[in-house]
Amino acid sequence: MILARVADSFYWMNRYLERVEHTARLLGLQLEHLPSSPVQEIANGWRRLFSSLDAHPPGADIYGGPEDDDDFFFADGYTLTDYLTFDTTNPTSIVSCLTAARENARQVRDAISNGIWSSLNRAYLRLRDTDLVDIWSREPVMLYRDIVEAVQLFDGVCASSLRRDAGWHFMRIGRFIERAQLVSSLLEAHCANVKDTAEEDGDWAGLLRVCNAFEAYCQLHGAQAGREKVLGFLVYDAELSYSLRFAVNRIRASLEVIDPPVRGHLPVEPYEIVGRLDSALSHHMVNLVAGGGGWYDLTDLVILCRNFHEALERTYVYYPTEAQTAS
Amino acid sequence: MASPDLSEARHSRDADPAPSLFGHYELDAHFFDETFESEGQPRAHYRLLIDEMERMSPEEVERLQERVTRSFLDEGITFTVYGDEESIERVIPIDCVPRLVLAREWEHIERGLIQRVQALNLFLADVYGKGHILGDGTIPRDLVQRCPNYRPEMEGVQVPLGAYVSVCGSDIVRTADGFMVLEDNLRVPSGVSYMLACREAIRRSFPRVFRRYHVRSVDHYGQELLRVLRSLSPRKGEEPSIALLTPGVYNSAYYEHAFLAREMGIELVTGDDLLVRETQLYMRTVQGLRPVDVLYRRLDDDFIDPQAFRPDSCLGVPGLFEVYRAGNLALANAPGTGVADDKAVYSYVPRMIRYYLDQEPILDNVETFLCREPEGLAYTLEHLENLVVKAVGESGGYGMLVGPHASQEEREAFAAKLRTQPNNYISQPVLALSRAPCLIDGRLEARHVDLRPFVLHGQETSVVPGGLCRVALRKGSLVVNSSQGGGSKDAWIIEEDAP
Repeated sequence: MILARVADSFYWMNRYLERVEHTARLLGLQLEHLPSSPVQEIANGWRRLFSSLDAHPPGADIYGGPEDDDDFFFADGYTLTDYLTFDTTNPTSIVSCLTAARENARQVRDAISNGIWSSLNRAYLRLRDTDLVDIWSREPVMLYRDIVEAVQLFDGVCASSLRRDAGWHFMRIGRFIERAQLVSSLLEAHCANVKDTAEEDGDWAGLLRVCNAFEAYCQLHGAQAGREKVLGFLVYDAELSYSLRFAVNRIRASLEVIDPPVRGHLPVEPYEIVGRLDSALSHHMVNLVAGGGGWYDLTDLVILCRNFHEALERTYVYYPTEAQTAS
Repeated sequence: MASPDLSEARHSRDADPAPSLFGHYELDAHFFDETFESEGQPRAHYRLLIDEMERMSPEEVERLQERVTRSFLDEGITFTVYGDEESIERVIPIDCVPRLVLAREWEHIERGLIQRVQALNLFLADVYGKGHILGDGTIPRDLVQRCPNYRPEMEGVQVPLGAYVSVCGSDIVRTADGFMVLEDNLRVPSGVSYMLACREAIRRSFPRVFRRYHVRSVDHYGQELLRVLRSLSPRKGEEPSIALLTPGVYNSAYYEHAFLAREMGIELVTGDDLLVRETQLYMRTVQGLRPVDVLYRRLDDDFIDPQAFRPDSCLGVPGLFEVYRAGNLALANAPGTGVADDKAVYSYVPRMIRYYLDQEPILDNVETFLCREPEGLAYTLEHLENLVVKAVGESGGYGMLVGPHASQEEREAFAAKLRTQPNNYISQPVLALSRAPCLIDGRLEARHVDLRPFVLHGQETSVVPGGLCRVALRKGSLVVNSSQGGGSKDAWIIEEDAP
């Protein structure tokens, strides 16, 4: 038994943290490549980064739409990094997401241990007391490594101290639905950037690194990273924690604990949507190359993730309360 | 230039020339000092603690203080100050030097508080019931029934176990004359989580002396409170469903609400989580509605139910009071307890003790002049520069005048208010609150303190041995409220012959 509001906070706390980790990974990689990459590639990197986060660079409204290449030439790396990391007016910046995660944790302060709270709170306090000016000239990449580690520490403390009850599973669902949505968006943004040139172009190894999957890929396929193999790995591999297949499996498993399916009853709405994601992945029906014969584009997967979110909130959090008192 | 030479000569003979932590500690004959009998002469029971602290360098003590503050920040034991642009989270200042209370002193306080809370509960049952004490004129009827915190809605309501006040936090002060009760907090007293968090941090800081003093434990507070809440449940013979109602994360005591809910393993709920259907209270879970039997509410009467009390409240639950009246829900504390901690009704507590228990009060009240009475008003106006004047409906140190610290203009402005609304005010002599050492800018200085122990009342009445020791951190200030620049300390109840 868990309060609807508490379940919702658990869910959001982890959605936000997933986004924090994902953004930190993307930014860390982008900054690592800044000193050695040609200008065009840097601009491409920024474009992929922003569009995968469904964000617009600061000043996009002044210079033109998000499609406008110039945005990324006008804005320098410092400004873009600051905007995505420390800008509290940007709702998708790392600091905004970490603040939101912490506020959600505060809402359920009674339901989480001191250890869980402190691991998150310390990360927040550290980031709050950091300024890009202080670290830009030294090693900004380290900041992102620290942020990723802080989220992993939070995960570890949760995994080692929480009972696997409904609260835990709402956390897992938040984590993996955000991951599924972010990875789908990232793959879509990445493919849009590659524009169907040669197979080896387009920094497929970089994509694997962002998804924490480079080593795993190399062990399986060797260091040759090409479009179809990489996309297939990130979409269909059931054993890779950053793949869509993996995320959808976790979500389905958690839903089964929260609301065990009853024979002869219609499945609840979220379950039904996960079912659609599941069959898209198990039958390899996702278009990984332009003009492929699959039923689903990556965009469709992003939309299904959004639908799932709405259905989840409708079913467990904002359900109607009339005629419910019999329980 | 003669004296500096002398002191240098004395220092040079010392093996350790570092200035002592207590080197600047000043005693004042006007105030009882908790720690020192006379200049350089600590009270016997403080010797062990002082020795331990003097073994540390001033830097070590500073570091210890920093660690305590840091641990509070990390754990989120903060309150939020809301500004125009941004809000700032602050840690309530915690002073690392514990206050020591001897077991025999504590037993006196404990017996006095138990007696007091029992009498106050009988008083509440009486005024909302048959009203004997009002009928025979022992306490003026209009004083009680016109009190802003009197709830006519509570008249005739059956309260489980007659426990109107289940949780009480009374403020105890000490002067040269001994311990006194300054006020009772019978509505939604707060501070117990600071007592517990403080204990954890200070025990960590002084592990050796803590053990040697055999400090009485406060750790079982959560279990004791849970036991009391269970005993109130209307669902007999079944495990009751208990929740703590908080106004939400923006409330300055939110940390405490979350802390207590976690300690007791009960749900922390806001008004939005609750709803009433067919005179039963429910909470919204992911698996539908679940009934609630006992609510430890940390929300003032005014806000718990917009249908019964303030219609503009969006923090409470519409219909909650009806569920309560029907006996399907227990509330701790009951609505309407504020009438018994009213600052004017306070002056009658010794009479209540004699009336209901036929006993002499164990703990004294502070002498109180009621401005509603002509003699009281005259006396107050005449002696304004020596009195503390308090508004009866306020708490938290708001709406008060500390005569000796006010300017002539402030006193005159206040006198005008007293003349137009005498019923609103009481006055008391300025109390010479006792002082205890606090770490201020790296050295120990004397500051005024009080003590708020927490009394629990269900089938039995008990006091957890300890309390929140509040400190007026501003030099010379007598106001210990956290909203007015106060801080807190750990209070150790120690055995007589411990060290």
